[in-house]
Amino acid sequence: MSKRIEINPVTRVEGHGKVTIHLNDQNQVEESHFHVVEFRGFEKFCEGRLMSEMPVITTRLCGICPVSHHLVSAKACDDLLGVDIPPAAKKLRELMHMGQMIHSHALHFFYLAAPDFIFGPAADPAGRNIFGIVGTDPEFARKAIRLRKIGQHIIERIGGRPIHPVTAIPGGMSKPLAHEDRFKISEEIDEAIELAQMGIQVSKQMYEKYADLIPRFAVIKTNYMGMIKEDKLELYDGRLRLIEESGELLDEFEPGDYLDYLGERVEDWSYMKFPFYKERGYPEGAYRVGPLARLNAAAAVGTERANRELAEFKEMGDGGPVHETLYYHYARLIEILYAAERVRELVDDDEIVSREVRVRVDRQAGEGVGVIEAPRGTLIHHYWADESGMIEKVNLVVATVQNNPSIDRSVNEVAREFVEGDKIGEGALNMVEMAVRCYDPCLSCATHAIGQMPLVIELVATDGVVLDVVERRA
Amino acid sequence: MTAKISVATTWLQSCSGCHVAFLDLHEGLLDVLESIEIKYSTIMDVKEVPEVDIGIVEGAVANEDNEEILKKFREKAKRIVALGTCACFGGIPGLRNLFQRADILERGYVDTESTVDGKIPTGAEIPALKKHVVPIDQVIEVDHYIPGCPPLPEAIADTLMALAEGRTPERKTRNLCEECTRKKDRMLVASRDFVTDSVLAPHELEEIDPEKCFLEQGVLCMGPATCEGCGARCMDGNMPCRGCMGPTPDALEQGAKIINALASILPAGGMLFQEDIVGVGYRYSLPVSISPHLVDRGGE
Repeated sequence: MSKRIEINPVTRVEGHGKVTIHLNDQNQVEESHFHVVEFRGFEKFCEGRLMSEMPVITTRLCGICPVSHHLVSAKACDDLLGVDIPPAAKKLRELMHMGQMIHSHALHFFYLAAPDFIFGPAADPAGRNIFGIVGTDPEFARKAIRLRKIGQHIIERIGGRPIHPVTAIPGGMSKPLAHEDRFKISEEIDEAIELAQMGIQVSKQMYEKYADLIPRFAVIKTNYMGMIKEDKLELYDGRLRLIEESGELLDEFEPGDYLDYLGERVEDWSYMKFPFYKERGYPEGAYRVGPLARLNAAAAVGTERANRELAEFKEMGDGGPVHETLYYHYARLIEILYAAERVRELVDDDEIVSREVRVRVDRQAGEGVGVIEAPRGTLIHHYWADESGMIEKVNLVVATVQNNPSIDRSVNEVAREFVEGDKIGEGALNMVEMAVRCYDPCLSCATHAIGQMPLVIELVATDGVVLDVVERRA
Repeated sequence: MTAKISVATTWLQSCSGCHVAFLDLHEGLLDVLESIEIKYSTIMDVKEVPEVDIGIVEGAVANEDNEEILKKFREKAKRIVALGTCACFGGIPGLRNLFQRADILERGYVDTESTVDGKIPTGAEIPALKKHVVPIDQVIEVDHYIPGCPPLPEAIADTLMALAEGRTPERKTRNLCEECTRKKDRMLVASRDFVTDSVLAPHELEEIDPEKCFLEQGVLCMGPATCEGCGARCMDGNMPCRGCMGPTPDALEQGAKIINALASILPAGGMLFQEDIVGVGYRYSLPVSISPHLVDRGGE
């Protein structure tokens, strides 16, 4: 008789997901899956909307990374209308994007993931959270709050509001940056650079403490995809590069051609699709995206301090990619440092306050693709519009979806390693969730098509009998 | 010092932006935590919803799981706060009510250009979609509402502090034009001609005037039909209102109210023929409006 364990919902991730673990007669893990149980329908209900409204409708795909959807949507509109936006508008958009990287990555690391390492994977779940950190180390909590706040302030100063910003429009930006706002950003950003470095130090200590865990924890060899510009890490606009598990170049292409290279499969048991590199097919063509993938795909980072950290990071890969899933957090922190340093470069550039931030464009029929590196990975919006500016069709390929095959695989690996018997302890349960958390999945984004994602772990016997359900739901 | 009130929070069908808005109190969050204790939340690992004083719910009800969680919250919480426009009015996910479930799933899992060998997932692990997305008060009784997409962090703190101190939280009632500081020259003239005869998107304007009323610039703005309380930040971003605070408490429906308001601003029908009135006028409140039932073609 086989058994099934369910963890529902997976907590400290954005959205609703669950994990099921199937055991065989010997109580060994046979297979495990990560299920997304939410669906929303953006790809359908955006039909008939005005193209010019897409940048402020699609923000609602995600309250954590609305800037990504806002900007990629504006980029898709620019492409559809065939407009080249002024250089200052590009810089403002990138600046807003860097603010989001700081906020989103800091939110994930400090508020959601760090409690696992600060308190330990098997610590009492009641206090294993950000409020626990506020109680035990208020100074550290204040620093985390401060770093995320600086990021949100940047978004607000450029985008009008920190969550669901509004200023990126087809043809550029609706307003230039005020001198006062430039000054304020400039005043705060050095502190963010320091805090980002502090974060990296914290993570290094964390990895030292958990050195035994790292090689046992979902080390999966996969392909990786990330955006690059002249071989360097790029988050706003560049080419897409795929590398294989050895580190060899697999392919490189213009984002607008994504349909020639990337496909998505559907599995019956999840509302989240399973993307792959077409030439390799599925599952061989599955690839990872996000911080770890980007740092694996790029040869260098364009800012000084972050590039030094990248060099140290790459040493762990011994000439090839870094495959340890737990290092997603490390890569995320290096990206915060890059983003903060990049903010410094952008606000020091006088063009950032140029009044030339848009070109007027008329509505027209067409097709347009926008691609950006969202905090969680490559994000693609593809629109078709008619001559009155109405959207006819929408295709979205979001970051978390591309990690879906690997999240599923990581969950399986960790369950095999740590789950034994027909009862699972809190520590093992949380380990499985930690595998999911490495990817910082954004299940609302991922389920743009569908709805929602609680995380459930079920322990199921091979005959389908549910042995144990560990459920986290509201 | 009085005892802290206990709080549980959850999200249903939403983007989690309201929870991020709560965290956007930043250091102020530490002050709020002096008065409340969060016992259960999606950013914590507690698995069972405990008995609490306040249950805060973000998001609309879109599937069977949402409904189950929501009912559990009502059972366990003395008072329920609807946090954000999805919970209050259905919000943007409510736009799916314009389509039939089968068509939405077909687009998502079969027709999309990047999908290869698509099929609609039907596994037992995933919850069935409800026919319509609805706000939470169509499923359970709700005690307090904090609209906004997302609400201002201060609005969330004010409500929580009021509840902690035993006061009834205040609800805003005026429309957004009262809060917006843009110059209105012709809008306020009692007996006048139409304000504009054009309906343009901001990207079609030569200049987007940072100080002038958007309606007077020929750009549809939802201000006259939308509740105040957001700080008019979109206008500061030099963009028009899209109605994310939802209707004022006394309004029957937001979409009808903007059509009514536009009747005195635009030549008859100008608006209706040129814009996506459903996608703009009803963007955030379709599930609480009369219209969706008119366009419901039946079936699944």
